[in-house]
Amino acid sequence: MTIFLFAFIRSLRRKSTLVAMFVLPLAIVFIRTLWTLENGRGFLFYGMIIMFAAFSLVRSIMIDRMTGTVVRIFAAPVATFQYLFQNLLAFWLIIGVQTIVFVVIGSALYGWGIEMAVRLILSYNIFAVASLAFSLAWNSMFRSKVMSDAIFSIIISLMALLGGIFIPISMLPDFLRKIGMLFPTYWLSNSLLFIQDKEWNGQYWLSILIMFLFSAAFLLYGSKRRLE
Amino acid sequence: MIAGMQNVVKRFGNVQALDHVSFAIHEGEILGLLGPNGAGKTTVIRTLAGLIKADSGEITLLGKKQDVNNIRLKQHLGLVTQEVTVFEELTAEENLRYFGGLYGVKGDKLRQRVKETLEFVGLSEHAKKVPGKFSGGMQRRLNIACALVHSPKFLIMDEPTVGIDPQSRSYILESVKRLTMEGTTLLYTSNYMEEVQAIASRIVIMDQGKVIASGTLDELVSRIQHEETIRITVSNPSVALAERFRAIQGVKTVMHNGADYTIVSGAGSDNLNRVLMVAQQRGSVSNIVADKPTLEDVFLTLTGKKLRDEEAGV
Ligand SMILES: Nc1ncnc2c1ncn2[C@@H]1O[C@H](COP(=O)(O)OP(=O)(O)OP(=O)(O)O)[C@@H](O)[C@H]1O
Ligand SMILES: [Mg+2]
Repeated sequence: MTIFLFAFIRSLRRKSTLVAMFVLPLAIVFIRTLWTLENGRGFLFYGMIIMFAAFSLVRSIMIDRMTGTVVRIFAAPVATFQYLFQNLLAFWLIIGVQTIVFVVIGSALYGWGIEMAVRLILSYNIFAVASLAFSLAWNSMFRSKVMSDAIFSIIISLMALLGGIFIPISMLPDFLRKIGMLFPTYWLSNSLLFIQDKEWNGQYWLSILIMFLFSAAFLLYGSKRRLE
Repeated sequence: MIAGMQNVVKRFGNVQALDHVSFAIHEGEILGLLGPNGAGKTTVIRTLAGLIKADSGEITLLGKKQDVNNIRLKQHLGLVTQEVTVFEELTAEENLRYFGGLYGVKGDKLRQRVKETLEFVGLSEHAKKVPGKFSGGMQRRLNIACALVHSPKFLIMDEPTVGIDPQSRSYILESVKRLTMEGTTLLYTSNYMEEVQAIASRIVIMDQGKVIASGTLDELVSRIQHEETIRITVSNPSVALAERFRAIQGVKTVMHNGADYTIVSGAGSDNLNRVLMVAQQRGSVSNIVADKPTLEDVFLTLTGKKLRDEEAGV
């Protein structure tokens, strides 16, 4: 479990992660207007923060690959799967703890109630896994950090737009909605609709399932790629 | 034989990085792998360590047939990479704990090995610092230390001294000697022939993906003993003079570097006087020596070029 343990330590020593992990969520959770059930922007903004956090956590895998440190890791009796699994598990736990803290604070401030809190935590966590998997797949396609970052910021804006972060998905034109369905952000939005609808319908579980499938696909792609 | 390869071929697209490479490393020895940039040294190491798959050929690692899927085989292998590959976010000590942990060293044993290894490379006082605060030489030493925590039986070092100060260099060479005294077998890659000449018990010379010679230093030197190397320094150097030297009967190669010429002639040519005469026709001679062959000469004779680019002549 060496890789798992040090994945924690390494992540918590990087500034970009700390900002995404602590500063941003705390900054938005106290802005009351974001969390009214009619507005509900906050729930989606927080999703985007998770996406950023995931991207910046997975960065350490990309750094290992670019600096050639993976060569040394794989010169040891370590399988690719172990290396990826232990890293991603640590990253997920970091985000997971953050979502719990976040939802607990939110519930205390705005009285979300236990059932809603559980559903939020589940939504955010499966979205975190999808985001981690997406970042892994994304980073495996690039050799340069600058390239990866530049294109990622375009993609993430697109995802935010099509995922209903700025405009509710119900207000998007039909063809944009269909494109949006190709990104996990759309399904996060969709899974959070219950907050306004006040109705636990099949849409919630469908969204969870689709985010899960996204994760599996991205993970498969991201780990198939050679690490050097 | 603790490790080695038989007829190993590896291609990267159009580049034939390894062209039927064969050599063996025996227990307890330091095998020096010598070759210019791009000779294929790192590729030899990566295929040997099972990091990349060879296209064909047989590879032995730690007495067993190499198989990239058999990760257990790597338990007793240590690899010092050519680049400094340590974690920026972790201190020297944590880096060692990380790499020790990858090999399953843990608890008190790990604590003790980390301490010993830091002492071994002379970084005990810097245990709590991150590598970013280190000098180039200290980073190199940490890079070596990371491969030693698990006390490997077989250690591969890929140009461990590249680009560092002379002090760190001799420190590293001393450490390497101590390791072999403790029973570690070593594959030591370098393009500094003095290093290899100083520590290796046997030497393999590579160029353009091929093994062009191998043996002990004496064996290699005796192979070319019949050739003579003359080094001459003139007051009035020119390319034309190099051409004149080249025209002397029996001369095989002429290297020209500023005012210095290195002239290698075939067996028994006795060219010392002729070289001197030719040089004096074109100005005065400030120095002339007929050398005993070194590893560098072996390389020069076999390949017609110097080991490192920056030393190559015009
Ligand atoms: N991953 C790769 N993809 C493509 N070509 C490669 C790759 N690795 C090595 N090569 C090529 O194979 C040849 C041998 O390279 P290698 O790195 O083994 O040489 P080297 O002896 O270690 O050189 P140096 O002293 O510069 O480290 C070179 O021509 C190099 O460009
Ligand atoms: Mg190399």
